[in-house]
Amino acid sequence: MNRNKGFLMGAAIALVLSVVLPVVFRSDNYVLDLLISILIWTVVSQSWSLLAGIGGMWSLGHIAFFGFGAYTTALFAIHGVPAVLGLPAGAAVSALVALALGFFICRLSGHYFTLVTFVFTLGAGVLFRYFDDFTGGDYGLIVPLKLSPSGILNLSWDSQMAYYILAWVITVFCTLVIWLIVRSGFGLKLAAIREDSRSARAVGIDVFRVRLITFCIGAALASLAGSVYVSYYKLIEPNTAFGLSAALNPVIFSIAGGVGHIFGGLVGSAILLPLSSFLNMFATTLPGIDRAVYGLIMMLLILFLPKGVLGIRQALSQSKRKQA
Amino acid sequence: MELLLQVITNSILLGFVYVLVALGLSLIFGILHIVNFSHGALLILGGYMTYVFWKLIGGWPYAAIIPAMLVLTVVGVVLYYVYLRFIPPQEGLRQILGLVGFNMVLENVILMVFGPGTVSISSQLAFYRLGFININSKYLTAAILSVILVAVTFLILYRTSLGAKIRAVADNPTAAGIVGINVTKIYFIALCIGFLLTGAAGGVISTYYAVTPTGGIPFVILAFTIVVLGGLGNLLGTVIGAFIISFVQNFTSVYLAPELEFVMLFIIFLAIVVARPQGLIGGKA
Amino acid sequence: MTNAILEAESVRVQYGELVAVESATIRVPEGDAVALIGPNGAGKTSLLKALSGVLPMAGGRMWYRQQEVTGRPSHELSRMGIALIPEGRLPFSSMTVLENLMLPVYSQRMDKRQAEERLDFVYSLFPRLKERTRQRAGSLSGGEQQMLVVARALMMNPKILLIDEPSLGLAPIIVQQIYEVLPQLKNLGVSILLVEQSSTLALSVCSSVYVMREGKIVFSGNSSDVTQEELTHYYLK
Repeated sequence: MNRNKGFLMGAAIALVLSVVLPVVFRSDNYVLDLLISILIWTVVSQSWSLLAGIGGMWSLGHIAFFGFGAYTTALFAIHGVPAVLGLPAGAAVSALVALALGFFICRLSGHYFTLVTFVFTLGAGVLFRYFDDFTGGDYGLIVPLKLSPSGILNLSWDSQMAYYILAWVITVFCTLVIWLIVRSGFGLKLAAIREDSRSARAVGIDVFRVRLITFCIGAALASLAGSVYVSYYKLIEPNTAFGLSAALNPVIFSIAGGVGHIFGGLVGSAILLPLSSFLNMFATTLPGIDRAVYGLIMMLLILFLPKGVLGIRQALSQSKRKQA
Repeated sequence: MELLLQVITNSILLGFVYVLVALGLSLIFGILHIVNFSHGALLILGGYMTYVFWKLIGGWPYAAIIPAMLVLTVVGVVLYYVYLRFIPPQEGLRQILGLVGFNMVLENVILMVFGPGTVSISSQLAFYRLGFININSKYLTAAILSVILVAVTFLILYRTSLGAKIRAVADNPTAAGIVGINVTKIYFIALCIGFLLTGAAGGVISTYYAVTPTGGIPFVILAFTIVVLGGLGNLLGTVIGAFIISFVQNFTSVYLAPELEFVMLFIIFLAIVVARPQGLIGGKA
Repeated sequence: MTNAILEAESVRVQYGELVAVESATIRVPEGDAVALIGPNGAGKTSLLKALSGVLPMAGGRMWYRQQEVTGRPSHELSRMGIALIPEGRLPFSSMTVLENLMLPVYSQRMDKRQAEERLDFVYSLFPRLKERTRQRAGSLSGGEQQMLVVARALMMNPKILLIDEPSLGLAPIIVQQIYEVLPQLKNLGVSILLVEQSSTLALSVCSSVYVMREGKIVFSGNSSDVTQEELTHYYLK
């Protein structure tokens, strides 16, 4: 059971790091902030990777579900509803929207599926900007910094570490969910569909149903990340929730780390987010340079390292075999 | 009644422009089988280049579209030869993502160079009166230019030997090779034509619409909807689709609300993709 | 011995890791019709594709009229006079019969008179095509498409035709019509390399034969010197 061993090893390393690092840097706000964002984007990337890497559904609109989760939680917090309910509520909203959208698009072939999700998230952005009394329009929503009572009910704490723990819990949860799916019979069906949907259908797999369920689960998980995001950063705006740049984040991170690897999103965000943060420093002097470099990195990754960092070993062993 | 005629007139005029906007995309797909996800940024680049040349050379802004077209062609050719051709056409996802990445690079380079503000070409706006209708002179010129460019393209494709060769390659590249057609050369030519058209489209748009670095997004949605409606690679379908979309967009904008334009477009897009992925007019799915 | 119009030595064709043609050496004397037969999957089509430049050669060399042409792309070889009539026919389905036939005119830049002459010639061989000149190639019947593709190849004024299983999927009466054309072409000096699964058909036209199996040539000789049983033997061994 090589796969299991790989997972357990990776999980062990990740767990140790995720506990040790925040303790070591507990007084460094900047590092903690970085770690929190890594975890949040790991969840988004992993849930995307579930769709794309494992299910073969390359969605360019995944970020929208992150957005729905964030907006739902923000609205709860602003209107006096316990923000913690935003987690399940946002997940439900996202799952429902995914169900509705997926009902139409989960039958589609690759190109068209990607096209529609692409247009979907852009369209959602337009919509959210339009209905501005509800959503704050172009400016988005701001969550009050201190909600009382503080604590888990309102997802509002004084210490940064508390938010880290929240993000950590959600990330572990998400990883477990995805791992269980991948290991299950359902996961096997999903992989079969990715390999060859026609053959899968021929052996009796209900391709549409499996895809739809996966799509909804992925959406719900991304939504959880969105809820954590907004409770920590206290702000959500249409660009972050639906914009093209944001939509590419899970994609770039997963590809950098290795699409289809359960820890691909984690590796990718761990490498690229600090890089992005570094580039951001230049963004004040030259707005856009961080995204431009980002896009360039993505182009290079696609060209040279489509299997990501975790795929290097595989790529290396393949080329060794060729030489033999 | 007056309003109705006005909306119809605008829809027709803009329809011509939208054909131009979508044509490059459709052509590049039809011949090279590449879905150009960087179409939006390229359009905007065309707009900005037109602005730059207009500022440099002065005079009639529409003349600046020509050098803009050439710049875009260079960009497109370089993109293909340095990057795209190393991604095998079967790996459509890598193509898509690579181009999306390029879109991001291009948009942000424009942002870095020109800043986030809008940029517009000032030219005289006049209204011609035709009975009850006001004809916006900018729309009219844009439409005329578009008609000319589209007509020339169709003439080349259907009335010249080069066009026949291009259509042959689009139909079946292997067979084209065995009848002596240099497929690589044709790809290059088709690429140039596609990017010339896209550059022109961006330039034409910039004459009546202020451009911003992210301004390509609404046009990308338009272009993709048109191309899906007409059938990817189906040029006649693209023409018909462009007019349908123009009518939908303008009527929604006037009779419902301007922001709902794209909602309507998205719904149509979704409906077509689901019900008839090969487009209403038919073509390759 | 006549000069060879086409000669290939140790040709190797592979699709990634899969080797379709291991090593094939073949020779077509000028003015002759040569048959290449063998069971399914032997590599005959891949060999033809390599000889016409459609597929790259992973190894081996090729000469056309004593000039080495190894590695040249298909459009160059076809302009030089090597015309492939492929398996699956491959007409340009979205274009009319006439447009299909005119493409070689454009790619070779023939003048009007030449083009008209050749067009008249192919129409005389295939009057059916003349009746359908404005019809979309995609809507033609299988036999008509085969005729179209042969006619299209002839428009290139080829010196050698590489024909891949022209009888595949066609009604016997159509097959007969096509095979009636081949000797006419031979009389005009066009060499032929014909791939067929049915040895009887192939040998009716060709003076020599190669048998191919599992990527290798296992037999070569004159049609008159070999019997049906011997051929079957090589097929199946």
